[in-house]
Amino acid sequence: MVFSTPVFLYLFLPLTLLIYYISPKKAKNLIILLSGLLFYSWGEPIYVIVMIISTMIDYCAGLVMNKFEDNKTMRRVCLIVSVVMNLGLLGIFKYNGFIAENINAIAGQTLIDINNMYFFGIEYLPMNTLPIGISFFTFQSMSYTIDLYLGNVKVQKNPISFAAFVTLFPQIVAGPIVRYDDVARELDDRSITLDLIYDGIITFIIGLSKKVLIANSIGAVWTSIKAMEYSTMPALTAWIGILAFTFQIYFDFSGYSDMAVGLGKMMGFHFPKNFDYPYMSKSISEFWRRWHMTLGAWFRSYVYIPMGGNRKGLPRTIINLAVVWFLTGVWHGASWNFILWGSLYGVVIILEKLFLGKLLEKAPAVICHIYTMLLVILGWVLFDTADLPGAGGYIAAMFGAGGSFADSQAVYLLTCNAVMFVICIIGCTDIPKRIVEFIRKKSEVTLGYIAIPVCAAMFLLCTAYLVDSTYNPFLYFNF
Amino acid sequence: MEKHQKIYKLTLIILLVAITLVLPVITIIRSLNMPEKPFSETENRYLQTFPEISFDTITDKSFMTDFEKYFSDRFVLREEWINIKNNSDRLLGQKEIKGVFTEQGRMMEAWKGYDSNLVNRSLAAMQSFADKYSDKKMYFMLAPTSQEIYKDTLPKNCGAASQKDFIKLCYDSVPGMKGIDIYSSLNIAKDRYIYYRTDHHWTSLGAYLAYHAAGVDMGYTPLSIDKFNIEHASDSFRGTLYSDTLDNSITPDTIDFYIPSGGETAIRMEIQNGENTNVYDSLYFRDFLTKKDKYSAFLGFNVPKIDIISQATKGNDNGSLIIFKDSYAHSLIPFLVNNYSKITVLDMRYINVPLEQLGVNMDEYDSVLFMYNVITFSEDTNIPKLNFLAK
Repeated sequence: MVFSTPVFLYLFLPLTLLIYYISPKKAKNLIILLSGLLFYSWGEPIYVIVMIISTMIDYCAGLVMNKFEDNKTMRRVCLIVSVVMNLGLLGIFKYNGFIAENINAIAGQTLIDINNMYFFGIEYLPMNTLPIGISFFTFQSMSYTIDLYLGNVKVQKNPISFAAFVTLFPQIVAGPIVRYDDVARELDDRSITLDLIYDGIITFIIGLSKKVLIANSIGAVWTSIKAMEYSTMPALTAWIGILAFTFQIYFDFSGYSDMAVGLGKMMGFHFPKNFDYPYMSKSISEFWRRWHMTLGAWFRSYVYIPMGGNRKGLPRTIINLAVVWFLTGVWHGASWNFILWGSLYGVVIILEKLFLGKLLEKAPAVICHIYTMLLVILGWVLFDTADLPGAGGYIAAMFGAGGSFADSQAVYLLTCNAVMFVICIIGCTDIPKRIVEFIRKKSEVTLGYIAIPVCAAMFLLCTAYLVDSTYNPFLYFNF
Repeated sequence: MEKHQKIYKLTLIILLVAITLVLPVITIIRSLNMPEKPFSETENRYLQTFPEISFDTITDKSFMTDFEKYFSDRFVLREEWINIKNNSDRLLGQKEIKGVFTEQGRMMEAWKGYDSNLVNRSLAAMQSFADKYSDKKMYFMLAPTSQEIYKDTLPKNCGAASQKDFIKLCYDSVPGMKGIDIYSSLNIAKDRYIYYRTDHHWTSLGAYLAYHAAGVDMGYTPLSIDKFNIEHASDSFRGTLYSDTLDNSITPDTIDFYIPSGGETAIRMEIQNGENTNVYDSLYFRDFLTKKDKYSAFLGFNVPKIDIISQATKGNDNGSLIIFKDSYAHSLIPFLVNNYSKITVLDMRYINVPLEQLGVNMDEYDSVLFMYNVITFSEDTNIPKLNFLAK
């Protein structure tokens, strides 16, 4: 299930919260587990089994690790079982097709036929299915066994509490990547206060509006431009398209994270922040400290630092960074586009570490912003075009290879979406936040009263957009 | 301060609880009281019924998908929500709502281009059909839609493609058929009521102008307009484009029947709707005038085959005609029955067997007419079927 559907907003959420609030404290984790399973199976009725198995193995690995507290080998075996199992699941479900394609390409023949993985009529390797959120829940659940091995967290003996951590529905499908350590204390003891619920509602509505009102609308512009012919595309059209995607992915992803954080608060949890105005960054290193922060933190804690981080000299630091950024690319998806996308970020970050960073410090702020956004925007082309030639063609169009600067269609696209672009530009800076803070300083009570109609109106407007998305007049006399 | 804080926080929470409880509860109560298979007049379709719960429907996710449709279809105040969304889009600067332009009191279906492969296949199929029946008089009539006639009212740079050029291209590609120019007659009459404001069809007057213009090419003498009494059948018609936008600010349309002054032309109409065959003595289905889908008052729904035998005006009988068509033809046929004593109307979208099996013997006809509007013609994937239908 996703948050932005009438069924979630008007059936699942109110019912779940109602039951959650009235049930006794001891039963609340069970409610989280059951609602999470329902939430996940709504979208993945079969592969929910994958999640259950992964949870059970990690839970048992934790117990065994705890039992053999002094036996280092045994602890290591448990860790390896957990990591291999989680990465194995990712490998099977996410990367198999990609790996097969590349093996075939290298061999020059079809060694592995990805469309024919049947054995006596049963598809033994699900080549074309990617269970929702598998990249998120495997990483979340792995954080428990790794931290337990490193001695950062205590064992969770209660299977329901552990399962509740994995199946906690707000963060199950699109993050933030909540580490066990982040919520360990709250899993066993949390208080749900009026203030927390209030904050949660507001954060949720902000996230919902970002996703439904902004990301979906601006995303439609990108969808239409992406489908056009790149070789004759005017430069302006190409820029409108990729800027639309730049905004779409930010408002979609950060909106989803806001919704998760808000829902978490309503249920008594404090999830880590995932976005901190990334498009205001002045360097790529800073951008990645502000974009999808929980993923960066995950790789830092479990890959970069264990490999020695920056404590083993410059050459080693560079290698460590390269590994992390290669993995970041791979994590985002199984294609060369993503690998190249992640690796290029790695290169830029290494360069910034070596000398570029110092240059940027001296440069005027405008230059730093332009430098950062230009790279980020070019990155998004790699990220969201179908393949490398497609990405190349699109970037060429952005720089005039289409043969013209603008045509009447580009002007039309711009005029129809001008208001939306202005909203996007303002919305991804901290200006709205500063306005809110300004009013709060004058009078917190006034702000509180303004928030009531504004939040209600946004929520209802989102409802209108969601109901409309299923509006489908069937005009049979208009075939 | 503390007290105020508690008040506004509680107010917001209670307000949202109220919204998220009241709306679904009303939705559920209302759907319990609905008929098992409710029909939406505005959307012109049956609403999703409650999906079956079984192992299969759950594992293939069809239960979930259908349930989400079921819930949204019945969501309380559905049309009002959609109106809010459309108005909000308009406010944000969108000029096109669900593929419809609304300019100067008129909704127009947007047409920005076509798939030339598809169109070429249709045209080639028509040409080989013409070659095969070269003994018959072949006519090809493409009607522009309102977007073309009122293109100067459209937003600047909106990308509307030229239907005039498209019509010429199509006529040139089928030399075996005589292309009938009706664009000029319609364009000259653009100040008259020739297209509905809320529907994608032309009005009876628009169809009359086409009928009048085609007389020269097709070799009949059209009845002059003063030979008709105009029956205002309805003045509350809200058509397909209204269903898309739900824009209430546009005046509802008037449907006119053009009845020859001597009374309705005596006809015998046999409709083969794919399941059974029914016989009628009028071209008009006045029952539809009290429903949403009022355009179907002209010859009813689109069906595979209609046979019309008429008492064509004495001395003005042009023989027998077969028409391959879309729903634009439904407004035109009431005029043609005055000049053709036998008309067979075929809708290829609903025909999947050779015409012979449908009881059509091509030898019985003198003339063939292909009559479509530009948009349907450019999008219809069924025309290439001709090769198979008339083998």
